[in-house]
Amino acid sequence: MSEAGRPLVAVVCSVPLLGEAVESALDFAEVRAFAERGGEIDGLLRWLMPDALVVDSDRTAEGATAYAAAHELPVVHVSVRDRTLRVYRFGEWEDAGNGDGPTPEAIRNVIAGSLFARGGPVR
Amino acid sequence: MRRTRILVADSLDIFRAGVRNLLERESDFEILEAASFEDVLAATEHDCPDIALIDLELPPLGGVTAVQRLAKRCSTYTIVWSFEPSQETVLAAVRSGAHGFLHKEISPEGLVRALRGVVQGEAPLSRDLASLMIDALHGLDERTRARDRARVLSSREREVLDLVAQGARNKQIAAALTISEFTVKRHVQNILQKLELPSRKAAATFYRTAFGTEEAPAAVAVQPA
Repeated sequence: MSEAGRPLVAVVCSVPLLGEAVESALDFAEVRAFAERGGEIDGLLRWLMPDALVVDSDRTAEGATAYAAAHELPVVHVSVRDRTLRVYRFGEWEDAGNGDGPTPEAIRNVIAGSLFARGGPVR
Repeated sequence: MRRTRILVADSLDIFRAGVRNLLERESDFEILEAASFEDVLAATEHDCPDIALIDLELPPLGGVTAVQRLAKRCSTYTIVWSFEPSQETVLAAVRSGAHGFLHKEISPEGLVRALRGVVQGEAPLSRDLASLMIDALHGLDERTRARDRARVLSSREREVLDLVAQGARNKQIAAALTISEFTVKRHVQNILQKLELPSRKAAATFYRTAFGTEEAPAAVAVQPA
């Protein structure tokens, strides 16, 4: 949770404009974007303790699952190259976005849904 | 102050949203969006943007064709962008009239800088893409020179060289062209002499440089030795 009482969403991406798009889609959250660094993400998550995580690489997505499973952190994997969207929650990956691919609206819906599902503080 | 009108033509919502979010923070830009070339036509029906940022894979015919067609309608600066630019795509875009080529992994600050640079007459091309393009131009130059040199060969010698480049032995070439092995040997000697090449291997390399694989003369089927 951010200082302003809004959910904190971390975006770790190799395509920086994705951070911009997620920020525009998540007006209910505080979005903090970070550059992808070869899949290593555990330290960042332990330091930041976000309410949700958005990533754009397979490596980072897989690298985040151990922390996500232990802390019930929803992870949204946006593959802009494959035009797919999936979410990791309750210990497994599920396709998301109703087949529309990674649109800002789909990302917003998936994250909002995941935060609500956790009983999180979406306002 | 007149704002710079930028048309973002990309079929991926997420890229359009990213650029929109970024540029809306800047007071000197105005954003238009298009998800396909049809949308580009609609957006430019009455007024042309200053800059068009066009996805290499813009539907339905791709960014290179879109650049060519947009140039017939507008004197807009066009920039193509893509995920994995290759020598061929960068060169094709620039030859089609694009003023620059950007990587989609560009930083937000880098994109803003590039767009402002275009207005001042700069051609946005990141360092790695500039070097890709120079390599592509060198390759093209080398191919043109090699093709010029190959003109000294007769059509039969070209056929023989094509098979040599495919790794065929004299016996196989003889069978494929229905000539004697002795004649093949004589053709190979003539080829090396005319092209001033030291070896059969060098001749094969030369042929691939000149004609690649896609434009080589119709290959004659080579039977196994």
